[in-house]
Formats: sequence, C-alpha cells, structure tokens
Amino acid sequence: MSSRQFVIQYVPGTRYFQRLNGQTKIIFFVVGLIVMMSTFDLRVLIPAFLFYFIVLLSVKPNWKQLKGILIFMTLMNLLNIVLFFIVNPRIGNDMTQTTTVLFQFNDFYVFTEETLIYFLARILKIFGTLLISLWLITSITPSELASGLYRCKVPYKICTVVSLGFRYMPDILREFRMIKESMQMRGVELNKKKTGLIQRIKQNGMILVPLVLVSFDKVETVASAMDLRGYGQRKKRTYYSDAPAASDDYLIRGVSLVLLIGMIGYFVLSIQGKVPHLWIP
Amino acid sequence: MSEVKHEKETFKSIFLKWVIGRWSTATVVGVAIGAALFGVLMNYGGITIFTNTKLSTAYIIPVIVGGLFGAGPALLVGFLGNVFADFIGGWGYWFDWSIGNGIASFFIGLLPLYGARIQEGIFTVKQAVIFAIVSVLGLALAFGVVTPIFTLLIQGGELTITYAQAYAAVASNAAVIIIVGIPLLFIIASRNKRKQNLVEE
Repeated sequence: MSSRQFVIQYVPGTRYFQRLNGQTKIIFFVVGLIVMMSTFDLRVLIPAFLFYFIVLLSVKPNWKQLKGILIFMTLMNLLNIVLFFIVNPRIGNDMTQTTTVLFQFNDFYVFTEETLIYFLARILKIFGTLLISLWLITSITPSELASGLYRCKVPYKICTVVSLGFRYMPDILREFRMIKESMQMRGVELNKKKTGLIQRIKQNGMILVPLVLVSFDKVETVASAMDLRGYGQRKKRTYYSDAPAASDDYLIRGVSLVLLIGMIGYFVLSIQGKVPHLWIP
Repeated sequence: MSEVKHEKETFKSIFLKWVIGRWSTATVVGVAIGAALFGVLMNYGGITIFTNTKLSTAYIIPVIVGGLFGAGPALLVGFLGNVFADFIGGWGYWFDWSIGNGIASFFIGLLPLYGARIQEGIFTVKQAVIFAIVSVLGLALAFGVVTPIFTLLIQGGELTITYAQAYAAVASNAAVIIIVGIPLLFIIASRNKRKQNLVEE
C-alpha cells in the first residue's frame, strides 16, 4: 500500500513528455486510448504498443513504484485469459470463421492459431492502455489535469472535482492508515490470514464508518474556505498552471491528429469490410 | 438548511434540486471527496471475490453523496470514482464499468426523490425499503444492461466474463448497500437530527 501511494505526481516533471501542457497531455492520452481500444489488429497494436512503451520509457518512471502494479496486472490478465479459454476456447475462431488447429486436448478444448492471436491482441491492448495511463500518471499533476480539462471545454466545477479529488487522496490514505492502526492498537485482529471472511467484512465496516464520517465532516470546512475565496462567482475560470501551448505541444498535437485520422481511416476500411476483424498472418 | 423548510416543494424544484443537483461549492467539494474515497476504497477497502470484481465497500459513497446532494452528484461520484480507482490502481481503464457505476450510483442517489432528507435527519424505515428496492433495480440495470452494451462497443469482445462479473458486482454491491449503507444512513440522519434542535410534539 505505501509503495503504491505516491504514484500520482504532485510536482511537474522535467522530461520531454512531462513538459507538455495539460491540454496536450489529455489529447495525447485520449487518442492513445482510442487507438488501443478500437482494434484487435496486431499490425496496428504492435507498433502502437512499442510507440507508447518508448514514450513511457522516455519519462524515466520510477520502476520500483510501478513494480507492484505491473506484477498485479500480469497475474490478473493471465487469470482472465485462462478464464476466457475455459469458457470459450474457440473465441478467436468465432471472429474469423476459420480454424487452424495447433494442438488438441479433446473435442472442446482445442488450441487454435486464431485464439492464440486473439489472446495476444487482448494482452497487447490491455498492456497498451496500461502504458498510456502510467505515462499520464507519471507526467501530469492534478492542477495540470484540471486546466487541461477546462481547455477541453469541460465545465470548471467538474475540473475542480477532478483536481480536488486527486489532491485529497493522500489525505484519505493517511486517515485510513491511522484508523486502521488505532483499531489494531485496541486489539482488533486485521491480519488477513488469521481472520475469516465474515470477520473481515465486519472489520472493513469498522474502518469504513469513521473514515466516511470524518471525510464528509470536512466538506463544510473546505467549501467555506473556497466560498471565502470567491469560488463559483463567475462563469469562467483561469488556472495558475495553465501554460500557453509551445512548439512541442503543437508537434505532439499534430502527431495525435495524424494517429486519430489514421484510426478513422482504419475504421472506415473495417466498416467497408476491407480489413478483417482479426488479422491472421 | 432552514430555508428548505419554508420553500414550497413542487415537482420541478425537487427535480432540479435533487436529480440534477444544486452544484454549490459544498456539492463540488462533496463530490470530489466522495470520488476520492470511492477510488481509494475500491483499491484498498475490498475483498476480492471474482476477477476484476471485489466485495467493495466503495458503494457506500454514492449512498451518502446521493443522500446529501442528490442523484446527479451521485452519478458523477460513481463515474469519476471508478476512473480514479482505475487511475491509481493502474489496471487500465474500464470505461464500460465506469459508466455502469455512474448509472447505478444515479439510481442509488435518487434517495431524496422519495422523501428522505439525510441532512435534516429524515430517514424512515419505509424509505429504507424503497431505497433497497430501487438500488437493486438500478444495479441490475446498470451492470446487467448498460455495462455489457458498452463492453461490446468499447472492448468488442467476449460477454460471458462480463456477465459473470456483472452478476458478482450486482450481488456484492447490493449486499454492501443494504448491509452497511442503510445502517450508515440511519447513523448520519440521527447525527444530523441532533443538530436540528427540533422537537416533535
């Protein structure tokens, strides 16, 4: 828990992909998600995956912090893939209507080339979105996120919700740990191995109730402080962290635009049926 | 909250105030803190019962935000809270589930529409029963219908697992809402009632 806590950045970074302004980062991120989510085609996914991998490498993330997430993700996805295979081993074949059997356990559990490629595409998709989101987490600060969203025409009250939420998260984690420790001090057994399921649910409730009450008690204080500073008086808002777009920003926006146009072109082709749903070499 | 008492409540004023939400500074802060809590609880305050699905205590948050601020804010808490959880959890973005969470939270947050006023300490047993029914229906609609549609649109894939996860999500979230949520609403309502200094005669 403690190692994963500070993945969110609160200080702007200095690398190329961290120096972009908030709006450019959001555009780059959204286009990346669209690229990764909209296709199962390995010819698109592999280059995109490598591209975003290089982007993530270029900001030199702290791998120690990310290690837990990566291990967790790998295990979770392997489990998911195994489940998929158990439920429907011909899932790839359903998409292509062809069958190339590589290996056969029995009549139902066959291992086909199409399914293999489908699973590969799925893993690439999930890890691709993970790379993009890790890049965003390691390069954007809550204020930049808010100003970027505002530039993308999101109502500023929602921008405030986003940035305030991110800023409040470490407070909640600290509160959570404090309540948990004081519970343990009073002799409540919180060790996962020593308690049963029902007991653990009860204990979660015991931590939850004070955490929720304490957090919502703060709403009034924070809201009064914001009201005193004139929050919500005007229809518009300016942001301290709102930097004007530099030439680098225009470059990355251009790259995003090219990617987006490419994806739209690909989409049109796939609607016309010129590219298969799942590409088999 | 005293001005609320004297204001005549027409259907339109109730709709504006509780379904869309008033979006005062307090609402903004409440939704922000609620979404942050939702994200944190979804990551750390749960017990895994199925892949990608947890018996998560996070579902308390839309209950409270709905009770305090209305359904629109609750919707935003569910949606943004899930995005926050994905953001800090780092398991990729599952917007199909975020949208489902938003819709489910909206139904949970309809609480003030049938008379419950948590901030004024009004929450009766009858309202609790309606609340439980509406919440379960909302969860079933959100995870049984809306999320699979978006899964099909966004992930373009296999629905068997999504349905299995959806059943687990409906069951576990409904359990959390009913077992933890309703008592918590009674606690908060009675706390607020004490602050009202009103005696029934």
